[in-house]
Amino acid sequence: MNAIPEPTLTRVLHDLTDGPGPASLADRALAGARSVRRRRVFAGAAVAAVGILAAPITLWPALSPGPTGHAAAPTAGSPTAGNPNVSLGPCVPAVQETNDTKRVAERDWPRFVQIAVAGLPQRSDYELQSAYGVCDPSQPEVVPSPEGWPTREPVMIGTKANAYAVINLGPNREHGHLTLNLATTQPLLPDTCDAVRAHVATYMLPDAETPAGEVLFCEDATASAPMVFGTRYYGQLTVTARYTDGRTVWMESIAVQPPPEITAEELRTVVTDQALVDLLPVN
Amino acid sequence: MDEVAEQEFREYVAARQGALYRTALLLTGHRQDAEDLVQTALTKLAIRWTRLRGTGSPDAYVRKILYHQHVSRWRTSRNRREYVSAVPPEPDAMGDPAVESALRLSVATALRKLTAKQRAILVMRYFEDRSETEVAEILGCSIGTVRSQTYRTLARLRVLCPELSSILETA
Repeated sequence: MNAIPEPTLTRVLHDLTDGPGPASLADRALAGARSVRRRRVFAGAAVAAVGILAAPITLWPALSPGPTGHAAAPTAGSPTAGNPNVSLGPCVPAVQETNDTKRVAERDWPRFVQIAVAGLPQRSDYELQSAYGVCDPSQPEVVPSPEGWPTREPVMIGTKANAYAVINLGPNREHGHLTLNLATTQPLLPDTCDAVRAHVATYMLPDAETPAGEVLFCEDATASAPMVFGTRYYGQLTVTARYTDGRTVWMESIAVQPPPEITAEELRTVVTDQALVDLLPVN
Repeated sequence: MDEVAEQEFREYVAARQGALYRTALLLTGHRQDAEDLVQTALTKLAIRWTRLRGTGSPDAYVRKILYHQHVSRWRTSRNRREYVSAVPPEPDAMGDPAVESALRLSVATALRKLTAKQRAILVMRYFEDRSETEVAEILGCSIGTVRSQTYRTLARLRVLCPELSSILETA
């Protein structure tokens, strides 16, 4: 017997999305677009200049220097037994600086964000938009209601401990943004490089505007290092470190217009940082 | 972008942001992810706004970005901890609140177990009420693929959320 009065899938989906949305996103979108236009103009001028300068070298390739692509500097942290003293509390979003600005003041950055930013290239425009964790999501999350809205009960449908942060490059994402994720377990994640390649070939398909996804690098786990792999698809880079005990740290670098300013190798430095994974308990 | 175009863009965002956010919330199952997804899509739209505003199809463009960007974040939908902030219904507008609440939780849990593409199809067909042709155009696949994916998605949903069975059998 079905006790649901005239249910429809459509109505339930609408119910699930009921609630307050974000403040206007127009300013950030416009600022990001302006930044891309500026970069295009700059890149165009730079290409023209390089073209002039490089012409003689191109004509006589024997004189040109060899490839100077920076060497990968693997810093994969070694697997760890985990910190037995780590005890996770309920998830609490980091405090927003003001009610209408999605920004967390640096003094309120969670420890995992501090560690990550310290491992990224030095620049002055890292802005934490939002974050929570490291926490235990099986406990009810404390979600503040905007003023004037009734208190809302979040419905938890996940059971994995993790942390999540959105880090903007520039107050309005002028230079793109990063996401940072920590999880104690990611059972559905590919656990070998062959599986990663198969996944990318199957799901990261090309379309009219986007080339197929690409595995930038992949190294299987060893006795002393996590599995680490990087992919590029749809204008974003993703680098993942998966430890043999299941703990996983991954970051995305998303450009307003590709390529992202923070490179896959730079993400790799962060996700393999032992200090980050040590924030997570072992399941 | 000139001042007029910028003003039009702001008006577009003011009018459509809520709807885009709700779609993103269903796709990601997570408020912060949803906001991030919409923000990324709107920024890409802003870059092309001058060209698109005259065509009358900015909505189609931004939704295409939304869905593709979501599907591309392949780990996100399958592996990240997810939750949906469900709001208790108005008592006079709905049936038994406890039953409704349980149903929402059940659907939210089921959504999490679908693939990113299955979620996208479900949201487009049953939340946005788009035709198979529109879904095919947005996802860049054939109508036949949309049809078979919809069938498989509903079948999966039926297993994951038996409470919905009676509806889905007639859908």
